[in-house]
Amino acid sequence: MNLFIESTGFGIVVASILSIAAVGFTLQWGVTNILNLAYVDFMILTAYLDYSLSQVAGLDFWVSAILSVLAVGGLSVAFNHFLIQPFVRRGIKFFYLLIIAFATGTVLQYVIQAIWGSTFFNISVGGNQSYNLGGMLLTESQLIIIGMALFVMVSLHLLLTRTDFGRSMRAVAINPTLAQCSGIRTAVVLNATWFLTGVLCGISGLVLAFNTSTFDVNTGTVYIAPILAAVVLGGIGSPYGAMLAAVIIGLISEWASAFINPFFNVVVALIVLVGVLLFRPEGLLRSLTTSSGGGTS
Amino acid sequence: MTSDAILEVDEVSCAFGGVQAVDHASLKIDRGSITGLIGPNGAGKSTMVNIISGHTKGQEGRIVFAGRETTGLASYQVARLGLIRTFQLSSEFPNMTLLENMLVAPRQVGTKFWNAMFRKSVWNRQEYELLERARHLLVEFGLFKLADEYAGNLSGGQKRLLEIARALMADPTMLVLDEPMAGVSSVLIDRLVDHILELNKTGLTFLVIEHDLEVVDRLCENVYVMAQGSVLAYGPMGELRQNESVLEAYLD
Amino acid sequence: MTAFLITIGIYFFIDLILVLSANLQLGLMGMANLGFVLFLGIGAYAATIFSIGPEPANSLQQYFFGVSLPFPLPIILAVICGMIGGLIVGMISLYRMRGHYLAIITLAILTICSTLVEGYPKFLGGSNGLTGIKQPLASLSSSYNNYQLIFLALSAVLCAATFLFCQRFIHSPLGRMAKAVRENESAVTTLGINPFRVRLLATVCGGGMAALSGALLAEFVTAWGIAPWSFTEIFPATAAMIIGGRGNNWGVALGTFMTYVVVGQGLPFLPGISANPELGYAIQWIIYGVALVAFLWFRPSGLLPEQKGRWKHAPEFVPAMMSSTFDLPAVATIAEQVAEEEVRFHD
Repeated sequence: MNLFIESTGFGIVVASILSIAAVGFTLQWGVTNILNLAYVDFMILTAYLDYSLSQVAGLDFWVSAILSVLAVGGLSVAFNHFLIQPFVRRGIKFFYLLIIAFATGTVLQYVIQAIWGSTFFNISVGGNQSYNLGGMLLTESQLIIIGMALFVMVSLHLLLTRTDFGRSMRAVAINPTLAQCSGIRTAVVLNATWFLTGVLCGISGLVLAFNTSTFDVNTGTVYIAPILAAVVLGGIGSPYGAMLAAVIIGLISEWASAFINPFFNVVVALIVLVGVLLFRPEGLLRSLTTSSGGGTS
Repeated sequence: MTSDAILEVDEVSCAFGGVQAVDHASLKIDRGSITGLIGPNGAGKSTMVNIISGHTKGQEGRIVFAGRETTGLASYQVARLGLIRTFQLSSEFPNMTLLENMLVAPRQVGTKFWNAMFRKSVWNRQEYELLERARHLLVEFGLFKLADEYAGNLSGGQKRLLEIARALMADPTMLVLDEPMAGVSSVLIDRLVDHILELNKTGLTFLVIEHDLEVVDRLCENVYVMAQGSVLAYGPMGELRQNESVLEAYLD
Repeated sequence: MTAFLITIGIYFFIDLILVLSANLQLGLMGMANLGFVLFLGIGAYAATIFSIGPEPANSLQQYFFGVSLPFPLPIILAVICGMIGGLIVGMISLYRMRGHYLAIITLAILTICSTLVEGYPKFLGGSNGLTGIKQPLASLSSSYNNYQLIFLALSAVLCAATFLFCQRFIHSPLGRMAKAVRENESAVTTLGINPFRVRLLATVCGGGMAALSGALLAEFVTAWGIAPWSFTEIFPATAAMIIGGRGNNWGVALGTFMTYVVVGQGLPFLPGISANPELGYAIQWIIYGVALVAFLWFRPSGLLPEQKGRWKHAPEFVPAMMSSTFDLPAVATIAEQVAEEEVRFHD
């Protein structure tokens, strides 16, 4: 029973990290219709940047964190604007876009290795002091991570529902042409969406690195599995679905990891993914883009 | 003139996400006839065709084609029975030549794996026979000079012709044409109408969905009218023009 | 020097078999089967299992049937395992999945398998992998150089056989049907073709071929782990296919040569690279990535585009046109008939 409560605690931490990552990913997919396989590589790049800024250049913790997140946000916009959109405008088959994203991710991995080498690094937040919350043993660092996740979720909710930008984003997600006709500057919204999701990507990369004792390039690449699982389970394009799914998958994977085999957290996420794809591909919640009905006439 | 039905659609219904696209509709198509299916937008005509061809599953009712029950069959199974349909949007194979497009259609021994890989002599002979037929058809439809062009480079009207020619390669007993004249120039419409009438003389049954009522007049002996998912009326065009409910449906 | 060239040759043939397998599934059939490297792994492990025999000293490898089957059985069994793998993956994913979803589900299956192998080291060696794989036909020669030549011949023959297989597949009515399924799935069903069956067939064949590549690779290197069939290996194979020309086997051969041999093997020779291998890797992958994007932008059909189906139109054909149902007026040559068409069917 102890193990169960403990692993539930870890599950909540994992869910927190995953929810930030998954929400960014699902918004990228839902609004711009791109399956960005390079996402996890952008994530880990943020950690590397933060390492260089905070530990090599000696900048303040929060300054380097914010700078690295913003940098990755900018890189995401550049990625979309210079690499993706030109091909989309040409009408390229989605499959080739997939390969391009995949290739970008792989190239990024090797560039990171060329610049920083293949040693493991460490970045962290808060202290190592453990707190016992009803049987769940969480460190100060992990509590901060959970707090960050909650903050991000609430801010995002407010952004999506209360601001013009949020509404524009939803409009572009549902029907880009119509959105353009109603005066929304689609290209601007797309780039802004990529910046926002790039920032989410960066934050999730940082907290992922905070939560693992040491990280290297592979820490990121393996993470695509739970992200995809959460995104598909939650419903592609649905940020709330992604949050909900992240909690589910975070908990299940930690329980599996505790009770079956430490490697099983990834396997469980993937089995969930395959299961959802086969039996309920539309996911749990409806996406930002509500589907239109069947044919007419 | 035989009056046995080649296609019987019985009380078929289908709903999509709250919209009742087809509502207990029934059709009966006589063998060797050219029947029209008309109605305003949203009437359920294309859905009806999709259900008949097996591309959409109806939720109620049954369909009998050439004496065989085809309710719930997959679309390729329905096609193998001889019921071939065309699509509203041109559905050629764009990165293949016209001849290749034509050769995909007929049943051939070379599509079985063992034959294709290890018995070339068998399918090679059939290939030349099929090529003959394909060339003839392309000539008849006036497309022969484009035989080695990519089908994706054709104009809209030419794609329509190709689609019908290709469907003929599959030896259909009945052709369902979904708005064959849409976006086609009037000269080509005349040619198409002539083609259809000629083919009908050889015994091919037609069901034609069309918006162009003049074309329907020239082609079809009898016409079904659908509106809001159900069949409103049936009869020759002349009668239907006098029919109150038909006029209402169109003006609504 | 010759030994080096022979090794490059061997790798070229092995890699070409893999890229041909990708071409069949991704190029000809247009399926987003990104996880095809899984079959490479299946083939390699199968060849290993059936040839490695009992290992007394090394405790990690004591668990197999203890058989050490002679050549060519491990390779044949590897291909069969690859085909079965293709069948299973195909049955799971091809029936309803398309596009993005198919890509994700095949990647997910690939990752599940590699994670399970890594997580259960007793099963297939985990991340440490397996070593001591028996080399085929080793008894034929005791000298290292001669054995290299033997293996070169072996891989060349098997690669040629695979190439001929793919050529026959693509240029037969079956290949034509496959292309049609790729081009327009709903149109193809309306002609009586069952797209699932063709896709499954391509996946099974592709699985067998990738497994052959894996078996040869494992037997050549005599060691095998998780890295050769990981995510990253998907990229050079697809790049080779796209650059060379998807759907065209000769194009694929050229593309494989350009990526795996010219860039992959040639790059370390440049000055400054051999000193810094990580920089070398980065540059290699950057070149792959840039080449891929450049080709997709400027020449998406690749160096050697997919071939059209062409038949000669014999002059004797012209008199046959007289018997058409439309009673065309007599014309002497095809040219006149074509000109006639232009007048009557002007669109």
